[in-house]
Amino acid sequence: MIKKLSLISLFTLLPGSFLFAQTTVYAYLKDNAGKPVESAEVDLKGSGMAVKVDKIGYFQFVDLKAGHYQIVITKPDFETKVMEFDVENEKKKDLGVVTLYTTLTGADQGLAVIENNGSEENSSQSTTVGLLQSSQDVFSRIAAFDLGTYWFRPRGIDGRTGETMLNGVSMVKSDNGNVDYSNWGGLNEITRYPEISANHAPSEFAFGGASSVIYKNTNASEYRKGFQATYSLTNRNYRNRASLRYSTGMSKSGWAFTGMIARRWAQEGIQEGTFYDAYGSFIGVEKKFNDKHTLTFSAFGAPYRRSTASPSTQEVYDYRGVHYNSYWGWQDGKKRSERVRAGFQPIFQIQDFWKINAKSSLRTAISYQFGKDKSARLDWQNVQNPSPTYYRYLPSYYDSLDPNASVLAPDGTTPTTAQDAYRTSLAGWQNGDPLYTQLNWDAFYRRNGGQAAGDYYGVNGKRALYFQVNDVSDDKIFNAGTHYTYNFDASTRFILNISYQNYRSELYREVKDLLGADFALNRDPFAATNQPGKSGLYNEGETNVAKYTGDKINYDYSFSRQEVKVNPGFKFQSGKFDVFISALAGYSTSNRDGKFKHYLYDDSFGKSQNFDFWNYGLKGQVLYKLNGRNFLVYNGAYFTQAPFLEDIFINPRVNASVTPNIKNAIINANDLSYVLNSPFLKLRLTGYLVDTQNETNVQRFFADGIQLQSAGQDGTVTNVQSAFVTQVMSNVEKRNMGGEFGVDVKVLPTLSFQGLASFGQYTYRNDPQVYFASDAAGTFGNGKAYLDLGKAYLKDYKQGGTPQQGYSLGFRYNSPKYWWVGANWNYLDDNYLDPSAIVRTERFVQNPVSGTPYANLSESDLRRVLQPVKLPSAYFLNANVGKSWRFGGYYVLLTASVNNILDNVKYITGGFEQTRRVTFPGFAEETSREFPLFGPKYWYTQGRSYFVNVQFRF
Amino acid sequence: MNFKQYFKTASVIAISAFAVSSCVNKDEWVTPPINCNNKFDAPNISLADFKASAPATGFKLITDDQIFDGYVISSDENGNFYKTISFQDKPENPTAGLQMEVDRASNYADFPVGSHIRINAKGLRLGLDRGTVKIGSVDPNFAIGRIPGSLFSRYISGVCKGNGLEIAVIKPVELASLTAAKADKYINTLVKVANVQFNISEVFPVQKAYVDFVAGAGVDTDRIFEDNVGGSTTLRNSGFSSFGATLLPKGSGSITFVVSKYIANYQMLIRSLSDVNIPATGTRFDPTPPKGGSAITYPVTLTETFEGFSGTLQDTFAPYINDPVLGNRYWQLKNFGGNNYIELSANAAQGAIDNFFIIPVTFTPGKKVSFDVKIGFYTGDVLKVYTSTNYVPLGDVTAATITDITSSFTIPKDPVTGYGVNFVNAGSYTFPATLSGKGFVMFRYSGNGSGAKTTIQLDNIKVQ
Repeated sequence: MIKKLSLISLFTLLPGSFLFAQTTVYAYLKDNAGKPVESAEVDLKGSGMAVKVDKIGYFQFVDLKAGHYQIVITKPDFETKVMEFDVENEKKKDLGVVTLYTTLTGADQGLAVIENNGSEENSSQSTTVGLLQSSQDVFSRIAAFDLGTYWFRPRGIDGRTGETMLNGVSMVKSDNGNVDYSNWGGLNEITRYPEISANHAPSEFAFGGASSVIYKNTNASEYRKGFQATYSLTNRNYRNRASLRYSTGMSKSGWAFTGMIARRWAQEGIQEGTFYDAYGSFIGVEKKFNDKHTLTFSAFGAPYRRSTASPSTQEVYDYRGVHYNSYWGWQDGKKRSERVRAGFQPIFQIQDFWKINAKSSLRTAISYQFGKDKSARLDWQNVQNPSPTYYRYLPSYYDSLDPNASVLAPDGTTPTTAQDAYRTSLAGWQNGDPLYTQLNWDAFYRRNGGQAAGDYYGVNGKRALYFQVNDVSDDKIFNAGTHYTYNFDASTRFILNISYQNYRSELYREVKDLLGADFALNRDPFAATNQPGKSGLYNEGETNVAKYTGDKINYDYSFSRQEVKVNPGFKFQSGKFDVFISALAGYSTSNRDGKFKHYLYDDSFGKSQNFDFWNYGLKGQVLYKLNGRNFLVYNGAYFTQAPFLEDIFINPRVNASVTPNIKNAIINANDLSYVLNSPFLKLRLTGYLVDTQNETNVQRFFADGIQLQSAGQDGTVTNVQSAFVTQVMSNVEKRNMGGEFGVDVKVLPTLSFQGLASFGQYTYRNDPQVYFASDAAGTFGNGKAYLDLGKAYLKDYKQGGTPQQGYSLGFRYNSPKYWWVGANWNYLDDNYLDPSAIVRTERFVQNPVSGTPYANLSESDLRRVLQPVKLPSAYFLNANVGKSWRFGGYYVLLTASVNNILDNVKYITGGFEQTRRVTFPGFAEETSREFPLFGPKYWYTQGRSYFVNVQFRF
Repeated sequence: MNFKQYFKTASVIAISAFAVSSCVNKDEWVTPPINCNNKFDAPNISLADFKASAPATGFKLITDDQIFDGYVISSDENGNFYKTISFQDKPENPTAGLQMEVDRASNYADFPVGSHIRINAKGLRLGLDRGTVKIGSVDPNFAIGRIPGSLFSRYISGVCKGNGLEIAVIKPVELASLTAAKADKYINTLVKVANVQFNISEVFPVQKAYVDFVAGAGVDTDRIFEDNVGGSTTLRNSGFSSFGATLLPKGSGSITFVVSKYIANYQMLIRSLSDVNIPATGTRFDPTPPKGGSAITYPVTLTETFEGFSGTLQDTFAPYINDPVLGNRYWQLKNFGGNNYIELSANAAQGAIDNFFIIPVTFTPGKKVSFDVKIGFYTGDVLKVYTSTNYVPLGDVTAATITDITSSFTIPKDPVTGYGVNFVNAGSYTFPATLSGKGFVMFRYSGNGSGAKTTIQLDNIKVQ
């Protein structure tokens, strides 16, 4: 351990061989305010040499031989910095001023996801990523930390258009374009401080898209030597987090190891009846063969189990509050959740760093990830939906049957049956009687067990009325990538990135728990009435229709995709201009291979044709230096983005139908910024315009009792009682435009104020084509497995999913005595539900019986019921405080933060319009109810939350 | 240093131990223990007495605790019962049955067939509703309302046996005929009748399904079934029943059903297809058996003027076979102006009338068959003439190979009102060289009470 290693003692420790060397390397360390940073540790990698920075921020290494070196600068409360340099034969080498950035703003976040409440019913909602921006950009920092926790998405851009790279390869999954952050969950110390190219700015590592390119190498030598133990206490989805990291630093023989384990857990999280148990582990090995050649190995393994929470209608929130969760019920005195997610998809990565010569270098990476991710849910056959929030179980149902049900009977009179029923149900809900508000597991077992055994497809036993299933995705992902750079001179560089991905995922449902029954049947329980005369079997031809625990049921198919991307880039400087150009050519080929022969779809079985897409793109950045502190920056991007697998296949669980009109999306993004960067004032002012064309938007959700009326002239009506339905919009045009302003003023060396304003307008620009498919409907009159609903009149509707306006004001006091306090006020507004497309089509107003619009339909009525659902605006107060101590070789950091201090629980973070009553009369009836039976479902903010974190280093 | 080393190790162990030992729900579950406690007090009235207290018309409100037991005999598992539960007082030899109206689905999951239930009727209405005694809730619009789901368990409970709900084996009352089942005392009890089959019109010429489908959606459908002693009744099938698309079985056997009544009409309800113990194919008894055929001779030549027969509406002709396939009408002997002939008409018939008058002959190539015909109230062609060589006398004529020779004859298409003045000769058909040996000439009447129902009179049938 290095204690007080002065420069003099360092000198005496040097081995004799170093006396032959001649060069002294030195630099000054400053923080982003320009103040010297003292007492930082600087490791010369692979030499065993380390020095401590002095009071004026100066450090040096003496008598270095010619060669290539890396130094790792670490100091508590600051981001770790890794620098590389070459020593030739100069006497002195000046590395200049090195800036270290403080990490005190968010002591323990990192490449982490703001926990998604998670629902398969809402797969269009992309996750919001709260990133610790390592960039010094003041706007991005506040947007990520303070607004990000409230689901603010900068510029309203879909996170799926970004790129996230770990150790040289892309971590974006080909099925839907999302990154699964739980693959390295809890390992924030390993994955934080990535390099980020914000928004659509070009990156050296990948072409990326319209949201950021995030790049992180997890080289074992780049972590601070020694142990770091962290414990956190919070009241979010998990309540405890503990982690331990150990790094050896690089040994003289060129080896470095870093290992970390972490666990996040809660017996019950903030949402009722949810538990959380997630482990994270990391092993990193680095071997430096010589100055030119280093090899790293990284392995991530993060097995997890957790249960998710339900969205609810406003009615249910009014009865039970924002922490209510309908997914659990009592069993054996414990809260049992139907929605348990569990997964383990470890990643193994090898990266080779080769410095070919003074001008060129090559990084080569390969990566393999495999494993299963399972999401459990309750399934049922031939019984009513058992969810306590099923509309027939809520008080509003009784009110819908008899409008007087919710009226109190005058004193002395006997309530009517309807009033009695309403009040009984209401009392059950208001008192939290679990017979009303939660699942009744005992009843599921009792009903399953109470049935007479019968003969089913050659097997005798009790079939399951209720059973639990897992939706499984079993992935095998191979990646390879290279990153080549050639420096013509100090400011001119050529970059070439080539990447290859081979993605294969088998997706199926399996029986998880039969709840006391003998088997579950692999057939559609509604087929007998919806599809009379058909077999109803999900896999025709199989002999074992009765399925036991662990058997595949319902659907089984695999997705494959291979993708190659070539991304050359060129950077140069000309006068006051810095220019960076990056280009893309990409090719992907995708297919689906069905394993089940669904009774309704001939194309459910077998391999589909290959769908090939080419991508092209160009990005450019021009930075104009007005002077050393004032800059103008333009970023432009024009590129195409191929659809992901889940966008290509409209309903892949049951057939190989392809989304009509599927095309590459075309994205045209431009922004212009003015940036001021001085020690006392940092400011960014940006205007942006992002246009998207030809986008395909696929939404899948569970619709109970949706009525699909086929367009057939014979008046064929397809009533689907209960089904997963898919709504596809194609040729979507969107425009996201707005302005961003971020400012950080240092009024005292210890006190600074931060402000942010984001004013956006995110709209649909055309009337996209809408298609609708259902698992259970089979082939429609048009011979296709989907209905063409024509245009959805969405032009000028606001996009949903994020507040379009966000503001933040805050301060921070940094005491020289190693403590700080900060607080901020945030305001979010203009948040809309994404408009449901199906109710905004012609079909919504056309009466299929009369062939005319519905009677008594006026334009004002239509306008009233179809107006966009605007979610309430909200403001939040956040505060954080921290202090660090040093006891000899021990360092302790204690931080605490409280978000949403005023406990605002009225803020809706997301939701969706329920698509069930999809004609004007039904929809209008719903909207005019006090409590719509099929009102929008919402997720609410989880209220006040705290996060207390203590960290030890030794 | 020792202390530090110790401290370091200790803190690593402490944090690891805490992190690893903290226990989180394992999501592993076993079937929960089952306990059973009777919710209601012991019965204080029998189901039969309770039912008997129903007023002769209208309904009454039960205002005190009237607790009685029953055994569930209906099931909504297959959608044929909907929002109603039928139960009887005993698992076998019941003396009374009743039905409860509930606004609730999937009742079979809680109360499968045979469930021993206990009902406390306080607060419910008991009354005669459209022909049936029912209990249900107070309702502003209906005599007997459906009990809302949230109130259901206030009135009904299972009865424990050991640790669970008692489920008895229900033994249906076996009755000799459908006519016997159509009695008020059997309403809402489980009954079994043997020797039944679906009426021929349900399976021939088109084998129908349990339910009709209109534009892809099932509609409530009545099917007629009959016993072998002349009785018949209606099997009522819900458009939502899961067996709706199944074709009716053609054979004969037994059916178990819950007796129900709508106003004055009996409608029998099955719980599932396992209540129908009738083979899909197989022998049928003939509820309108062929008549005659007791003195078959296969003559080479023949002249039948019907003057040798007598008796009003005589339909048994010993040398010939008179076999209705659809409907129950036979060719009948008539006399007008001293002349005997046979006559058949679909006028005022319920549904289709399809009847064969079969004349055994020995076919000799070159011989001719001819006959006289008179038409009444012509509404369409209903007479056809066939030959057959593989018909089995008194057997299933629909199974025989028949050759249509109608085009050799001229059958008048008038008058549309009244009767023809005289019999006219319809022409003749010469047996071809390929037709020889024993066989049959068949006169087929094929009409419908709501379609072609022309009256046909036949006389002077000759083979010469």
